[in-house]
Amino acid sequence: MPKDQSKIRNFCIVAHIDHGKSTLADRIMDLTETVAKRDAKEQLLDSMDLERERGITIKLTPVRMNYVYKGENYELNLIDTPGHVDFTYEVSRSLKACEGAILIVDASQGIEAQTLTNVYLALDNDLEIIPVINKIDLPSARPDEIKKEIEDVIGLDAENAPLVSAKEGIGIDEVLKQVVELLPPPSGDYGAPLKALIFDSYYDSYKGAISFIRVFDGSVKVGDRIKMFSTGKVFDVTEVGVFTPRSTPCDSLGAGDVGYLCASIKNVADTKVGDTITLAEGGASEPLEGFKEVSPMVFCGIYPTDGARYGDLKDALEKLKLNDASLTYEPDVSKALGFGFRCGFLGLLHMEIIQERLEREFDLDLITTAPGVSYRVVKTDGATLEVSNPSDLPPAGEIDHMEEPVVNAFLYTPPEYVGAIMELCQDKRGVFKNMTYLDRTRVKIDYEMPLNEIIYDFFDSLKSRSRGYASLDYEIIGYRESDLVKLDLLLNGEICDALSLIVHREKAYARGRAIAEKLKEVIPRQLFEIPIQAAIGGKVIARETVKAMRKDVLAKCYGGDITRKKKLLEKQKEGKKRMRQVGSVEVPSEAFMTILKFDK
Amino acid sequence: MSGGAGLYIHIPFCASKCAYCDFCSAPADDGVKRAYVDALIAEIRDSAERFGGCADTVYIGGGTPSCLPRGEIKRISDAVFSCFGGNIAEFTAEANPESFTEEKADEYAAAGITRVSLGVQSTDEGILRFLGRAHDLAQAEKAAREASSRFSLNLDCMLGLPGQNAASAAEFTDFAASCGAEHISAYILKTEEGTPLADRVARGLKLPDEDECADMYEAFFAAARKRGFRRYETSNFAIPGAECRHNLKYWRMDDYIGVGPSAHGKIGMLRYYVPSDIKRYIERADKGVFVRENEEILTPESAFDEYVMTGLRLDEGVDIAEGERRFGSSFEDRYGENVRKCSRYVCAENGFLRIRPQYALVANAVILKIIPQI
Repeated sequence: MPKDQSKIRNFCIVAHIDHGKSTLADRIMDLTETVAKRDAKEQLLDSMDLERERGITIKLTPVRMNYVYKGENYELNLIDTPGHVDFTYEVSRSLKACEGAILIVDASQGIEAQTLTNVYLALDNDLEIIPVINKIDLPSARPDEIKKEIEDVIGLDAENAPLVSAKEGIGIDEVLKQVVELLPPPSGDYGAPLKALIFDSYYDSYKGAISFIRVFDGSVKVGDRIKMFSTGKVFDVTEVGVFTPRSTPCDSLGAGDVGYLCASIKNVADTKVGDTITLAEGGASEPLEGFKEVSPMVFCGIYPTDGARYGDLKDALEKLKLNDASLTYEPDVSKALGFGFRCGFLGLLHMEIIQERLEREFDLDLITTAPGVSYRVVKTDGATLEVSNPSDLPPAGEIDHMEEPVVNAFLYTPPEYVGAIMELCQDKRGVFKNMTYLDRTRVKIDYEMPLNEIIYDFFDSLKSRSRGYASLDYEIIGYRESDLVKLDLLLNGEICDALSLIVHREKAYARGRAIAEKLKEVIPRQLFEIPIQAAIGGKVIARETVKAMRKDVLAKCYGGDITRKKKLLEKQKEGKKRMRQVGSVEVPSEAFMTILKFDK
Repeated sequence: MSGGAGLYIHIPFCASKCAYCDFCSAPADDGVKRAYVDALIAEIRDSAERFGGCADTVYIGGGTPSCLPRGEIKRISDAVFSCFGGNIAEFTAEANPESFTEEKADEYAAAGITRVSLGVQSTDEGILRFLGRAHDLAQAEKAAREASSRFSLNLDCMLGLPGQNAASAAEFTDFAASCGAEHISAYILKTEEGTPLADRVARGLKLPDEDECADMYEAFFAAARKRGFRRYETSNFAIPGAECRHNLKYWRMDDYIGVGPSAHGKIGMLRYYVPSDIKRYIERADKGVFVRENEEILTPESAFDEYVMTGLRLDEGVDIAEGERRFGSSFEDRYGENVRKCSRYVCAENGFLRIRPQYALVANAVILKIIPQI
């Protein structure tokens, strides 16, 4: 039975990181008594500990709330969104599930990088936007200026924007009033064939992959046979329900509803974000727009420090992938590091989170190689290869040219740091595109930059050059031909495959020298002298030497205390545990990652 | 096994604690010292009963044995002779220069001591102050000459001290020779956690680095050689014939009995130690209770490993046939492959496996290559 869609409001909260999305979501839930007071936990919608620690949200968890306004019951479906540049696609799909968005702007910080990215995304999806000015409790709050900024920069009418302190609980009611009054209700056709958008999913060990869906047309109930548009795969619905915020089963979901669906789907990869669900028989003829397969942008090698734990690492990656379809991995072998995996991530943050989860949740001691991107190699015979592992590069003679992924980078900074930041971008092979003064205190600089220059520590350098005030957003725009070379590191005359890098020729000399110097620092002295060489195509471009060890411990053998002596040897042995044998040289596992963090 | 067991007796008392020391030792009053010697004597008796009363080398170490009140050394040696028989070929006692007066020398002689080990450490006054030693160079010389006239004399020497260099390393050997010493033990300063030295290092004191220490040691080695002191163990140099028989027992994995807190013993496959708490030791001994903690029960495999480990510290090296006989496995089977991988650093001669002299200073690294399982 169709329900009254006019009483439904589907909306997101979008904002720059730390402008208060999650706190506002908490307050809204308090106000609508969605969570009993004694069950309330700070920032309820963050379901994972690691993200909680970093104060950022990754996972989306939609919540259905009941709000009484002017004597009527309204159903408010709130979707929380991630704020980091790595997860833009997921944000865009959750925006698509909504008719409107609350745009939070920090009353003292004003518009920042993701404020704009998100609002443009929302506008692209034809969402009605309610600007909300948060953190008015701060002494540095300047709400009137921010209102003007919103009007000038985005072109939204902010005159009636609610002034809110999510932390203090001020102005929340006004926000909800505007949600009801200003956001349009959904307008789907209950009678038409089912069209439901998957905007997220997670894996439950009992129920299988659970999709978060927004139903546009038609309805779905338990027992229906459904089909995924992207793969054509068919499943039987075992459960549908809504989140309050806990999952609560119901009979069916119809046009305008937001909720979840279970269908004994064994693999979360079968519930792709952005995909359309329809009925297997008599379903819709066209999917919803905007679906794309997510592809990894940043790659690294992950190896267990103790080779015997390869199986554990494999299991751990499988388990993580259950809940993270965007993580990719495939087996890889390195002469230096043994058996491991080459993994793909949406970005650096995604990579760091996966690494931390592997180490913490699965108690794994890991060696990771430096992150890299995927390059396009066009061979002389016309074939094109995608190469993310430098060791997979064909010999130089077979390469016609190489291409690297390039981004549009948007940098936001106070004017006094513009010079330092432009210098940084120039240094990173950036091509200046544009500069706009957003207002007295903020400048937007556009650069086209190679992705591989951004993934190491560009972000950290940016922050340190601007005392933390600058911010960054970027979008991949494609591949450009580039003069790239393979930089090899030789230890005692042998190439160490795990240390190889693909770099731009301009950067190769400096990087080779810096890596050789760092290696000299971290490789401990051994029984023989170790020459370290950085080379491009066999030509040595930098050289360092680790001197031979001259002495071990030479302490008194006290009164027959041989055990003490053995303990000393044990200590030396412990040191060796984190070593990898690379040919005849013992290399500490940190060497594979830290040597590449050397930019100022 | 060569002769009987060795007997080690620990004296945990000193006039003052040196800046670098983390041994079991501290100042104490005479009353405590006497009570301690009572306990020691009781344990000496008990050890003889327990392990058999046959020893051919005795070593009284510390701390500073020479800081015991008059008469105590004799009481100890009386107990030793009465419990461990009359075959004692070498009886060493340590002493510090400031307490090794002519009277003390008389006491030592009367006690049957044949060998004295004097804690000189350095001939540089500034360094003696730095180390917190309680003597000066003049006292050291006097004590050394006194000792060498009546006993076989060893001098302890420390290398790797700030302000030292190759020349001062040579100075020590000159001093040793001129005082009539027949043996020098040379150790490189090691910063131990919890010592005043460690504190100073943490606050910025710079000690010589690895290369400087190695240079000093090599200079010392050359100077010692010139003076007739032949290195027979990584840290020990002797006029041929004056090697310390007691310490050789450690490196050849012979048996030795440890008496007194923090002393270690090895009898057959058992390694034990006496707990360090002095007060408890005295209380227990009073009740006839002697605690020897089991440190380890060696297996033939682990014992063989240790035999190789300690043997490689000797310049003569490891007696391969002897090892096979005592521990039952084939040397080739157990170590052959690793030894061959290390052929650059070791050589086998006349049935002995030794580290090539130029790698003596990095013996630990070589040992770990041959016995990674240790």
